Amino acid sequence: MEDTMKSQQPEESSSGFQISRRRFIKVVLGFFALLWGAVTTFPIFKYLTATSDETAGEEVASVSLGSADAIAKGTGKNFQFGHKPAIIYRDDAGDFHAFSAICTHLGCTVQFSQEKNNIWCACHGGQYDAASGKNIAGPPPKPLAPLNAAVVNGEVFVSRAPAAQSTDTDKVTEEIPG
Amino acid sequence: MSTVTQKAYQWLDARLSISAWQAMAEKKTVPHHEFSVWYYMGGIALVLLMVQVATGGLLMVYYIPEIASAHASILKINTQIDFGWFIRSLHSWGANLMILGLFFHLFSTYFMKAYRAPREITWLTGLGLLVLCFAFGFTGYLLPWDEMAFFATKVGIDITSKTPIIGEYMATLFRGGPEVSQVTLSRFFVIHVFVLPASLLGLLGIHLLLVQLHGMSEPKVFRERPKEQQSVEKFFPTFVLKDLMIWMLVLNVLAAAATLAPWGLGPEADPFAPAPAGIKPEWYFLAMFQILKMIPAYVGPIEGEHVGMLLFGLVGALFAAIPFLDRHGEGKNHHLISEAAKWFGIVVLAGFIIFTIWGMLE
Repeated sequence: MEDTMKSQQPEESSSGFQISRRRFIKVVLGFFALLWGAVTTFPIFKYLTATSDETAGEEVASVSLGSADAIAKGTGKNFQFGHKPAIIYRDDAGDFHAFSAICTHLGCTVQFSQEKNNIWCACHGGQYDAASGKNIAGPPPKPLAPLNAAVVNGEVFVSRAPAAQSTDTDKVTEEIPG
Repeated sequence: MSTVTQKAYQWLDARLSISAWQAMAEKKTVPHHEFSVWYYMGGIALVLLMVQVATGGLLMVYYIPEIASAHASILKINTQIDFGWFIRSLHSWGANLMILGLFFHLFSTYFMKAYRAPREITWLTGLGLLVLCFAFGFTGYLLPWDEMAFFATKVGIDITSKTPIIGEYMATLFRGGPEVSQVTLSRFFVIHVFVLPASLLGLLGIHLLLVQLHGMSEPKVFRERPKEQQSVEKFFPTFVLKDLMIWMLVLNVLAAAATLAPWGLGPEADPFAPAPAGIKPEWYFLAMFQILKMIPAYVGPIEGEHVGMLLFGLVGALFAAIPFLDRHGEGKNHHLISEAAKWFGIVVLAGFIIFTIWGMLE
């Protein structure tokens, strides 16, 4: 485009004014090109990054998992915590331990493995201690984000863990409130 | 030729210069030597691409890019629509065979050192096309919305998010939010059927134009032969007919594969279920998958998957840079660089094969 501009310019004189006018036009054109680019790109960019309510999901403070007796000692199960997958484990003493089921490695959903007696991720073989959520084997770099599990009148409730408890897992907890 | 066809030919010839094109094609020659077989790899990928375009268009007639219906619509194509299973199998098998063909094309070009001047841009557009094909594979994999696809996408996007600075942003852009959801499916669909085909068309145009412009690259053993021993064959009709014969063969292999081993469909994705045991990506991502699995959580102070990404990025960057590093007899170290380039290729290829097989066996 610049070349056509140049060729259209009358080459009648080689005075300094001529050159500066060319330069002026170049700068103005460049400015408008940038402006035009920004004006076109911005709406497309905003359009593509718009987050609708549909994806935001519901904010959940706690969920009930029903009767505590339904979960046998030494087993675990996956459940839905708001719009995130979560996992609960009942240890041999009968206590409950709940975590986000999002693997801290690459975001797969973990599960309780009876055979390994810990929490295991099928994608890349990461393992976590079922009682503490600590990463114990494989590629995961961090423990699972903890959730609070409590038994009230024989019913299991899982709620968000206080933020202070999970400072070392801030990346994961960040995803939990969603 | 009857007078009617003769007249039609003359009419068209006057407007399209057919005879001039034909004369050009007949004048064009292709080197004929012991490595000539590798010249057909690009053509194989091309014919499989045409199959992808045709079958992809047909699949779009019944496929519904909506999470409640996507899986059911593929199931319907597979079980209820006449020849639906065949069209879908051709598409899935074709995609995999095309990537296989591209690997053969890539490595044969690499080891024949066809990337050297003046073919640097041909090489780079070829690498770009391979990346586009990986993107085709990755986005297309999600569309049936089965559980393997769901977790493969989750992991794939999470890997993207590990890219420094822009990673998290790009991941959100692909996902369209914090989760793999309807928005993700819609985006992947648009990328798969519009963005990638449009990009591919442009890049492939340049690639093919450059191949015609430069002609076939001659390997060193051929170039060093005395002139009278450098045998060549006519591009038209000899090479073209051989090409067509190979295409027929490839199409037959594809049809046989699609018929004898129709492509299946896993259970529908459940975003809250754990990842299924034995989950694996498509074979061409398996080597990377296996390496990611083996890297420990931390290598020194760096997170394991960052090390993996760095490794893959480095290999990719070296492949892109190779035409500028390994040039025709320039500089005093060129023999050394040429050898190094060859061994780098051998190591990458061997690593790719070993880790892929390892991943399959696990």
